[in-house]
Parts: sequence; structure tokens; C-alpha cells
Amino acid sequence: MKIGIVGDEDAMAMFKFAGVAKCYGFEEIEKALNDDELAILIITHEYAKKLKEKIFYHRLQKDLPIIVEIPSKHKEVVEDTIKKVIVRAVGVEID
Amino acid sequence: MAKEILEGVKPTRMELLQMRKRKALAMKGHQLLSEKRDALISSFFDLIRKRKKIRKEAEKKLEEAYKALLMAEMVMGEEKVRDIANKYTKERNVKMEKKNIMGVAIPKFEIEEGESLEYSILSTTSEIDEAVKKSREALDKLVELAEIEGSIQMLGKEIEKTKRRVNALEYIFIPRLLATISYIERQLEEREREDFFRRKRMKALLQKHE
Repeated sequence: MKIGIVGDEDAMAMFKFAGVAKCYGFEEIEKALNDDELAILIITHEYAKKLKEKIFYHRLQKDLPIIVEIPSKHKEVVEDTIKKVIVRAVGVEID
Repeated sequence: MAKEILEGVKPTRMELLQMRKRKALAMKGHQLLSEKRDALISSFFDLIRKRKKIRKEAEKKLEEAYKALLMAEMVMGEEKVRDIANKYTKERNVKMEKKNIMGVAIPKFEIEEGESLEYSILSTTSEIDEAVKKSREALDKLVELAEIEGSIQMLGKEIEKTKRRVNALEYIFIPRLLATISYIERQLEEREREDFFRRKRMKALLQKHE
């Protein structure tokens, strides 16, 4: 199975070096989420922030691809979307 | 408010016996499910702890990779670096296996080692090599992270489901069963009293006639 990336150009270049073949633009996120070949989808933080709702619903509905959020080049504080999943499961926020 | 009882129950002795059986089953199910829930939650916490560690490592690796890429771009120019990235990509795929934790299928990834990049050594600098190496390391860590985050996601869903089942049993189904049982018992007792009284009355009437 494959790994995909949604992100800015720097991140894309980097992951291309690393051997990630499937690169998606911001508009193609639907396509990426419904791709059966993808096992992991890497999303940079900036995009993940804009796609918060979509990611959340995707996580509830489907198992694959697994979404991994990474910080982008301009380092920001990363607020994890997976925290929401944790809160739903156990009812409290855990660090 | 009177407690709700199950619908379509006739107050007979047979039903009473059946209800008692169902109650025993429900109690057992509740016990098992809540044990499952506790076990799931404890492994969930383990995963969260593990994730924190690996996430930190992955972020560090990523930062290094970004830096290496920046260096390469500085030396060779952005255009050139992206060109190389686009042209000479060698795919690395992952193999997915499923592992089983308490009946939950959890993904396990193994990254397949692709061939190394074949760009010309003459037209590139060592910074590119460094960037490639670092970004590969970062990807390895990210795959590990994905495995754990995926597990968290799936376990989380399962915990939610189990919790809902436990609560449904505890707060709705079992109270209803108990209410039904006591309803049938009361009905039966009432019928017995009626019967008893009827017999007494008949006896009295018969005695009067004699």
C-alpha cells in the first residue's frame, strides 16, 4: 500500500525524496481520502487546520488511510486533531 | 413514574423463568463487557504514552529533514532541488498487516525498502544526499507514528462502542428486565390471592346451601 502527502511545496519535495509517490494538492483531498491504495496520508499542519472537520469525520467513518499530521516548515505549535479522538473515547483530555 | 417493562410480556410462570434466565445472561454480558472496556482503556493509555514519545522523535527528525532540504536548496537553488525531487522519485510502499488487540484489528506497517535514488552524482552536491537521507529517516519515523495513531483511532472507536453497550445494559436493559420480573411476580401473586379468595367464597357459599 502507498503513502500519500498533502502539503506545501517544501513538504512535498521532502517527501518525494523520502519516496512518497502520491502527492495531492489541497483541492484533491477528497480523492486522497477515498483512495483505496493509500494506507497513510501525511498532512501538514496548515492544511490540516483548514480541513479539521473533514479529517474528524473521516476518522470516525473510515479506518484507512490513517491521517498523520506533521508540522510544516514554518514551525508552529501543533495542535493535534487526534486529541479529539482521545477525548471521545475516554472523556478526558490526556497529554 | 413507573419503570418501563419489556413489551409483549405475558404474566405467566413460563415467562418469569425465561426472564430470570435473560437477567442472568444480561448480568454476565455486562460484567464481561465492562471488563473488556477496562482492558481496552488501559491499552489505550499505553498507546497514548507511546505516541507522545514517538511523536517527539518524529518531529525532531522532520525538523532535521527540513533543515537539510533548506541547505540543499541554498546550495543548488530551489528549482533544481524540486526538479530532482520530481524526476528521481523511487517509490517506497508500506506493507500492512493486522494485529489483534482484544478483538480490534490494529494496523501494523512495514516499510518496503525501495531502491536508492539514482540522480547523477556529478550534477548534485552532498547536501542533496543529506536531504534524502534525513527525509527517509523522517518517513520511517512517521510510518511508526502512523501505526500508533491508527491504533489509537481504532481502539478509540471500539472503546466508544463498548462503553455504549455497557451503559445500555446497565441503565436501560437490566432495569427493564428487573421491572418486568417484578411485574410478573406481582401479577402472579395477585392472581393467587384472587384464586384463594374465590375458593374461600365458594366454600362459604356451599356451606350456606347445605
